Amino acid sequence: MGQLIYTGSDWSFNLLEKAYNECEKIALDELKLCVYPNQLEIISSEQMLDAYSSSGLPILYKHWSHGKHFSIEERNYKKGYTGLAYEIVINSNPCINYLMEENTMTMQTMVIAHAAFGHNHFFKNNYLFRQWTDASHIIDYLIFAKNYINDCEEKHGPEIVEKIIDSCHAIARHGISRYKRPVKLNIFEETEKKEEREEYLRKIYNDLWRTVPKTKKQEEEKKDVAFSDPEENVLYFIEKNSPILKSWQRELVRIIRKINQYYYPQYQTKVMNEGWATFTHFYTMNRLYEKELITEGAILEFLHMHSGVVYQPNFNNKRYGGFNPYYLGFEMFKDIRRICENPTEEDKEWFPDFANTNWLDTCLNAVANYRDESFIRQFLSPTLIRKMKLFILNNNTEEDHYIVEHIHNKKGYKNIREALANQYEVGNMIPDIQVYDAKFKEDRTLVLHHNINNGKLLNKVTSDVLTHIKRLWGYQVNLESRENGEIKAAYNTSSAPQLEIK
Amino acid sequence: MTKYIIDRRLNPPGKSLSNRQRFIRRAKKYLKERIHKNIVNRSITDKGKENVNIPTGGISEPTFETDPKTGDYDFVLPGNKDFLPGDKIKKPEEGEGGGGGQASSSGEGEDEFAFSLTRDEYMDIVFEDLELPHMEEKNREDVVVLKSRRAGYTTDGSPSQLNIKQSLIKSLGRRIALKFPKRKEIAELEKEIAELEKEKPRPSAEIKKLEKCIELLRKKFRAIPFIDPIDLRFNSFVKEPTPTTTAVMICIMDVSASMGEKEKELSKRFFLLLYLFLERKYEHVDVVFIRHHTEAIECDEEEFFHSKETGGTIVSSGLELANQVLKDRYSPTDWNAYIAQASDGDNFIQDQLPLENILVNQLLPKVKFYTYIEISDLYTRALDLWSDVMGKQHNNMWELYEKLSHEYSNLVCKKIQNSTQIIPVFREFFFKRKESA
Repeated sequence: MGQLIYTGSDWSFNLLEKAYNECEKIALDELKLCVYPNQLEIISSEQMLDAYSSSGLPILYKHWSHGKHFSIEERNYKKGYTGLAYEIVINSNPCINYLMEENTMTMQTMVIAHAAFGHNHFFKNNYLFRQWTDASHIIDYLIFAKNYINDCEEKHGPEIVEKIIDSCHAIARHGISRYKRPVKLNIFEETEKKEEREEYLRKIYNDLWRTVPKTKKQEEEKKDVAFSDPEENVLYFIEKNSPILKSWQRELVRIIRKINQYYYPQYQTKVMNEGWATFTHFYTMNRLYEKELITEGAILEFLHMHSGVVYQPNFNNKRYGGFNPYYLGFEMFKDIRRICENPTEEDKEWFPDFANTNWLDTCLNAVANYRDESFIRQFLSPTLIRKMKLFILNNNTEEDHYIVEHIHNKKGYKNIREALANQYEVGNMIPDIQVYDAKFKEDRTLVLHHNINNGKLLNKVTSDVLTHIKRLWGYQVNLESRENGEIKAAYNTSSAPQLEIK
Repeated sequence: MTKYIIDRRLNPPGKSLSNRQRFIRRAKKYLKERIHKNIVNRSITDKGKENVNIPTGGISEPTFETDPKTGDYDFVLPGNKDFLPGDKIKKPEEGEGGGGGQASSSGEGEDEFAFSLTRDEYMDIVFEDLELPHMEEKNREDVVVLKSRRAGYTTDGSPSQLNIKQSLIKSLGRRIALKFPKRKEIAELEKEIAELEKEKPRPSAEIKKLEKCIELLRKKFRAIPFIDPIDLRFNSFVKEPTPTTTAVMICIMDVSASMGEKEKELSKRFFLLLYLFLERKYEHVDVVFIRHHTEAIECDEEEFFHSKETGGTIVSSGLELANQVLKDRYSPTDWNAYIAQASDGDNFIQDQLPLENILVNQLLPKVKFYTYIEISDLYTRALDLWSDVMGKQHNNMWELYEKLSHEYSNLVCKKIQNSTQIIPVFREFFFKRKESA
């Protein structure tokens, strides 16, 4: 059969190339993956920490919070609380894969299979990524953003820029219009649009207009335009309607909003994305071994690392910290393959449409068309629920007991599947906040509604967030937490210490 | 499928340095507070990274989050052992509730944010706006020492300073200028002759011509020396005045029975600050510890702060020793001398005159700066008051130092009652005096 790619543990550029080519054969020919071109970059551990602090992006605007995150990561790493990731991969075209120089050759091979093929395929094919991100332009956009923010700092002073970015960060996760078709990032159009916007403002500026008295009809019209539907994209609303922001400040808001849009698919597909990459590296490494391209020592080293990656402690273990996405995703893809190849009677009953079909097609279809929530709702099988011994607890925070609602039995499967899927719903991760009114004709108070989900109220930093919104809005901000139209809690900015732009 | 492999390790490090500086600027207020509070726990000569904990409040990044203590919801957990539907499980104490593993993402405690500063960053914060007095304006010339510095090459010098490379370069240049023949040229001509010899008939005229050429070259070869005195170059050094970058700091402390642990602790904090401050300004700082009761001894740091003595106090003994040390080991041309003295203010009454004498005549003219702190707790202050009422002479040192501090600008003195005053007093001593700059 084949000739061993490598024998020792040290890597070299030559060996990386060979390993990449072998992984590529398996990924493209056997797994039928479709990927962006790859760019493998070797980095040191310090550079890995750098990459952490900029949320894995290769270029990010400067801000103190990135320095804060860097020092947290650095400290945890140096104290040995956490190891560094073996890799970071960026959803761009070409797809950038960071490999750590400390990795052994086996690790590098695994990382190539995991990131350069697993994640890369996911980025290119999953519908959320296709809809929300534009891999070819992200790097350009990041450069544009960084330069723009730099220019602003030079023109207007770093303090004021920092204040606006601080406030944008506070509501960065509320910058998505889920039900509108998103506009992808495109650097050229962005710059053009930005210039157009400025040029238009310049052209139409005529001080005389201000002095022309408005007719009653116009006034009426303005009132009507003020509000029709609630707006869930708080950041967008502020960018377009804030009475106090200058045009360059609106541009900053826009940049933060656009960059955060890039993360939107990521936190909705964590389980699937990691699961698929893990599945890919597991398949690839085993195939390399079967083809006698790697040694027995290498496959044992790999299995040791792999079992660390997919370790899932039980709920009563000290180390339990929620579900390990690598584990859950990997087990599910493995399970889909099992159902396709060797379905039991139960599986045939639960998954009539894909039991006994081609497992690869089913997996690729799942990768392309689902996100965590729908993936679990569709594919979590009773077998896996039994294997993981899943159970549902009800937490009524007013009681001093949890109640076990369902366990892994016939009555429980459907409920467990629903409950787990709900846990991965965006609405369960980020509170649902909407702009409800802006009282343009009165005192310009911004009214936000929080739609309560499962009775969960907001925590004590809420009023701090409101002061940040007020900084961008310029006038009072009220927030009401509502459940079935009934106000459960209310917050406003009148009592909190105030933040000003200047 | 195309791929690229790039080695990024050679990229310059410190990509996130500017973010770090931004963060320090942001957290400065809190860092300063903590540093000023904790600085006293350091050993005087401690080095390395400084860990500072700051409250998370000022550097928090609030976002909308739900409160885990509210609501009524289901959640899924792995690893059921023996629960059945309907079982009730008591919630763990201390709000660990939720069970959904909402561990803090930072892995740190919730209230404190631990941060490592480099030594330079640390010192910048400690000594922000402070300046050593009398450095610039007054004693610039005194602070210099002559230092040898390379200054190119000269045509004259001692053989030990001969620079072979430069000399040979000169020699080569001269030989080229004088068309010094190469051995190769002669060898080639000889070869030519040898070849002509073989020819028949022998072209004797040509051979003769060539032989003449060779002779000319040989003559030149002998006439032009390979190396000439004119070629020689010597390394040259000039003496240049440079500001000295060495300082000696003499710590003098009264260790008589009246100085308790608390007083020593306060002195230590003060000495430490001064040491750190001097270290920033000078490349090299020597520290001399002198402790005294009725007689003075030079000792190491450990002994200085921790051993206990009994007996009365003769302050001049300590100053005498300090003067001796300066005379013997630290000549004022090479060293900037600083003296820090700490005492509880008591002195043997007959020692007053010698004390003033040595201060005025010996020490004050020699040192750059002399700080005197008097540690007086409430008890001694009460005694002072009592003595005032009784019209007695008391704490005689304070009066002396205070009087002198008006006459000599390089002497400062201050009373300290508790540790919170250390930083303010220190800052007062060294605060940048704009008018004198």
